[in-house]
Amino acid sequence: MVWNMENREFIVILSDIHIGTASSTVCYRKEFHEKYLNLVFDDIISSANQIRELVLLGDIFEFWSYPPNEIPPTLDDIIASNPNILGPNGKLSKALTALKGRIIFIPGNHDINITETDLKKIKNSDGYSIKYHKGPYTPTYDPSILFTHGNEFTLLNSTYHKSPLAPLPIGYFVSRAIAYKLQKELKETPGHTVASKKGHDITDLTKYLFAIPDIFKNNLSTKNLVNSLVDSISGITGMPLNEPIWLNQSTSTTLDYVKFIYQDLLYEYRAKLKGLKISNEIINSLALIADEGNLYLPWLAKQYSHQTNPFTIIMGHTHIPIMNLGSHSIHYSNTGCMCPSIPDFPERPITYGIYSISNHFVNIMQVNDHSTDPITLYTRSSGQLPTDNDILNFIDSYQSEKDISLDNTQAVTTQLEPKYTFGWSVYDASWDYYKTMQDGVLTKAKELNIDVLTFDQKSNSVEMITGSIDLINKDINALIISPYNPEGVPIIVANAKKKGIPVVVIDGGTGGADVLAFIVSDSFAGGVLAGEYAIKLIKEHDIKSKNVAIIKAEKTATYALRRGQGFKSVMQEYGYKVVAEISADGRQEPAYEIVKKILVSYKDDLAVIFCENGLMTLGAAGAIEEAGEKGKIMLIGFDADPPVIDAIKEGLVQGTIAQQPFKMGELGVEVARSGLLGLPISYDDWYNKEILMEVYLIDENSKSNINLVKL
Amino acid sequence: MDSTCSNRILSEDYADFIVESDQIPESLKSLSDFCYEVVNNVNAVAYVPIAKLPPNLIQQYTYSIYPNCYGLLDLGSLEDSGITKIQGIPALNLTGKDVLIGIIDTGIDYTHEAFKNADGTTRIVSIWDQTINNTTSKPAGFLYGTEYTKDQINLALTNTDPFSVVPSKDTNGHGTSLAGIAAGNRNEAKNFSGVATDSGIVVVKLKQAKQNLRDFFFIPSDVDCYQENDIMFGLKYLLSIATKLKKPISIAIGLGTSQGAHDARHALSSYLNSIADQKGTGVTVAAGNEGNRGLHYSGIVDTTIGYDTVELKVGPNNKGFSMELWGNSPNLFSIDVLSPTGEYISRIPARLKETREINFIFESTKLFIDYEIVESQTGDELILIRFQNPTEGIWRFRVYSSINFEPRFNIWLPIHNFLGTDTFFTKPDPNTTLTGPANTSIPIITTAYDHSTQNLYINASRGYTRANIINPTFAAPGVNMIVPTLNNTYSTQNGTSISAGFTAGVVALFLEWGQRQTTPVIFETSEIKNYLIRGAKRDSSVQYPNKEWGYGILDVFNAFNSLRG
Repeated sequence: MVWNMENREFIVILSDIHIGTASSTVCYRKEFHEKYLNLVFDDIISSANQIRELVLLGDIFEFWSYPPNEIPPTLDDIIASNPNILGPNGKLSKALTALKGRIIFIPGNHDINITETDLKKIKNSDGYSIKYHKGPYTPTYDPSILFTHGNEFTLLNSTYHKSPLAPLPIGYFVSRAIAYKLQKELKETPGHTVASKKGHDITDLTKYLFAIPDIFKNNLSTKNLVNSLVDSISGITGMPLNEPIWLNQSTSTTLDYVKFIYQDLLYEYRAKLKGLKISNEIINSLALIADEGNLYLPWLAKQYSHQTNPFTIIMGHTHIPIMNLGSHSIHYSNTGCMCPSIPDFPERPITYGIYSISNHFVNIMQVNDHSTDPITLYTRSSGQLPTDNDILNFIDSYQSEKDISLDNTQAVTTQLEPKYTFGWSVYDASWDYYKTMQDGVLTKAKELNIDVLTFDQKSNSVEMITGSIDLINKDINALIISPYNPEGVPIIVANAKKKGIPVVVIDGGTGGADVLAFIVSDSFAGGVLAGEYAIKLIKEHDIKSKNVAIIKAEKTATYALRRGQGFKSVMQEYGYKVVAEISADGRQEPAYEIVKKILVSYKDDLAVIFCENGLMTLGAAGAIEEAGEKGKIMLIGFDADPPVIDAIKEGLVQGTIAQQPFKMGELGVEVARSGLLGLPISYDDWYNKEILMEVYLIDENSKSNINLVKL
Repeated sequence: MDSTCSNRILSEDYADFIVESDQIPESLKSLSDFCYEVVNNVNAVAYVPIAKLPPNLIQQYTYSIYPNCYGLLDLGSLEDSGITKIQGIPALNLTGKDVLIGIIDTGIDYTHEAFKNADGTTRIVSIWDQTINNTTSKPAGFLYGTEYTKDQINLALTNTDPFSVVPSKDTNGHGTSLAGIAAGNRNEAKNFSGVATDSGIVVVKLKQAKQNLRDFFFIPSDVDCYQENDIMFGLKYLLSIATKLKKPISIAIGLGTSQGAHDARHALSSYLNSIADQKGTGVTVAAGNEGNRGLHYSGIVDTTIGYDTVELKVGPNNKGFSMELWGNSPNLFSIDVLSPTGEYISRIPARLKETREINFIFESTKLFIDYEIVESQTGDELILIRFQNPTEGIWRFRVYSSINFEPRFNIWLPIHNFLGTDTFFTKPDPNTTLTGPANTSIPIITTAYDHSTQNLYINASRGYTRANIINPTFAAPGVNMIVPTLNNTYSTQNGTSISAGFTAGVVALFLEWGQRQTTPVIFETSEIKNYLIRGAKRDSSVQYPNKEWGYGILDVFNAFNSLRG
């Protein structure tokens, strides 16, 4: 038979290196650890012809241990930070060449996000790429081994699929919260990193989660378990429950949301282990031990294997090396690189495993300053796997010691939402536009069973600030504000922050404040729509001129200025020339004067004038009428205040782009609620937290074209 | 799984969804009629009653759970131009003996002389016909279809009416041709020879896609279209036979789709990659015949203008189709729409969280638009646009990006078989038109060329993948090729699946060569691929690799030389 002709005797196993970026909360430091990792790869490269495969057994990369305010790196970032290991001429690529592509990657928890295509980013000039394997791996050339990182057996770090963040384990947020604490501590010792701390271990959860047993003291449902767990993490690390945790450039979440999405944690864990034919009581108890201690991991692995023949299970994850634990029929090893901090070296060396295919035996190697040797410091190299009785006894003693138990209730499917009260601070409720917006706020709040305290700024900056701060002091859960003066918003937001109240701004602007969301009309699309409509008018009115003019808002009106940009892009696309693009500061009188001058210069040779707001539209209308060009030169505006609508009816204005204040008010309430519940918020621009609201056209017949426009 | 699952696999009242085995959504599981079957260590197929489907499936479970639909990668038969000669394989004394050729396609005409031994017995190892049900001979471990063994086929061949014994038929001819070019017997009189003329042949005849999926993607009812999950089970079957017989297998895939992100992330692609990575399996995939059809658009949003304008010409009497826009993250893309009669929908903001249905007032068209801002498999943005009864004429889309980090995007229409003629982009991009699963990284991806003129096949899909993986791997003969077809005849055909069949035959020879060495070598696809790339013929005036030819033209003799050297 030709199926077992490989004579490469060894499988090398490397795990838990945790290479990340240079962020201070990452334990792996290039300047210190890299030389040792180089030695490992040198060994692999020089013995390549004896190596059947290099198994990268998870947590090779570090994507978790970053403070919540840092956007976690991508693999590209990590490669760029570590070119000597991961770059095109790095050691990993060299090993890939030496091994002719015989490297396989199995994700752990800290690099659970790595995909097959990601691995192609480890460039190799000979065209080899690292193979990818998700889940437990048994090589085709040796069916007696099982490789798995090990996180799947733990409560906190097993994949969790009932969430929009799937498969991210809840342990991710524990890591982010720990990084929050570490970041604070490190601020006191500038220049230091976590690797300067003796005894630091990124998986040493017990240090941070010493309170876990207390959490179990009452007969807990899975939801309460998660709530208590997250509260405990927040308490121990000092990270507020509403602190934004950036997941990527566009998404952030909070520990509050973590409570919400992981509410079925225990249930899912049970479901996962159900296939192993372990009783519910034992599963509960295993969950209870959580990531504390590693005794039960090999025991679970044994349940998993169902093997009768000689069988070897190799894991990482625990950072504690173990060699060949078990009887003649089943062995458990853990390559457990200890990811040592600098002061812990060399007592806790970098380690890796070498498995001999013919002997079914694992050697753990440790890296010294100049060479790698079989490990001597940790000699837990033989003995028995724990028996069922061992596990039961352990659980018994643990439970009686801590006096705890868990109930067997099923999954929680509904979340009881707290009763919220929102503050609503409105620009001026006597204006139609803001009255409509207020109706939107109140309607949606009623629908969602949210109470609203309203304050009217009455077009006054001082009122706006004092009134909004009053609302903040009335125990509201969130503030929604449509500001009279955006410059005052930062003061209001600073006050809200002190009380942990999120702020949603609708229209106007944020004054640069860090708000939960800023809801504003889609001005650019409105300008585009105005342009499309202008083309239609030009055709219908049979206008020959190829010139158009844009009357612009004041330089500080960031959003209004986008209207002209959208209009200009479309007109130029259709071959029109923008002959004038002049600011009238958003005011009626200057607009009148400017348009008058334009009409003197161009007379009839002008097809369309577009104004970026309602007041300027009225100014322009006056000038056009005076020049006797009413209905000959098309005028399109923005905003649908009653005077503009009247001007359309009189034929002075041929159309305007209208906003949807009611919908903006509704959306404000929805977004504030999502923020409180920690539900994801989709921004149209995550940098400015902008959420855009559609606009629509009111045409020359005063008809509103809400969804579709016939052009 | 439970036996009732069999019925659901076949029932039109149940929809199939591809899920990850360990994360089947609770809300699907909790349906009383729910059942699923595991494909491999990553994916399972869930069978869910259509009547009980939760609303907003895409928003809840992501677009990736919908199986892609695959079509056949060939044109119909051409007139015999008489210019072909037997495509010579150099005398290597290799015939694919003790190696299997695996075909997942329209089935095989097992009565064709190309697949019989000299004594009249069959060279076919087995046929799994997914379309013949309600028999007691399902393949072991599979829940539907019927398996016909070598013995049964031999019995049929002795019968005057063979199909009364083994009723599995290829009514299209595509599978017969694919198997023929890879492994069919030499026929001097007809000027034909397959490549691996001593290999055993394992065949999967695919069942047609379910109506619910055709309806969802608006795929015409009269074209052959196959579901991703049925192909995956087909692969699983081929592997089970290879394992049982302890023989290496060379698999040829002559199916393709323009759905998906055009990188290697769909379930079938991942599965093919992992299979191709195993010892003793070779996987060859046809590049596709989409290069010249105008069905792909690529653009970058111009940040000074603020958008890019895309024009799509829709032909007459089009009943509908689906179109996918894939935008590179972290940019946030959005679109507006202008219909041929001038109905305009302003930019639809990216926050959309429902399927937006747009009913045009002056025409009977309906548009269904879904945004998936961070698509679950790629992390990039997907905008899925489905047209129902689109009005003939120019449809215009503006593509906006609200964040501008090289806001690049691609739009693909379905493969031409699913679309009908006269529907295309007015400014198409012929590159990045490889059909799935030809965007996978490990299998050999073959484009087609005319071996008599040395010209590339005019419709051949072009690389690279959206993730810039260098595909196609190389070109193999695929123009004016004589191939076996139905009713024991031969015809001349074009297409990249011909080149995939040819290459799969060559891969079988490599697998055989490896086994014959004194110290036998069991190749995996990437090793064979590298030998073939090294040996490929290259024109010194052309730069390689390139998007048309990959690494050059397949040169079997040279490849074996490099192997020996």
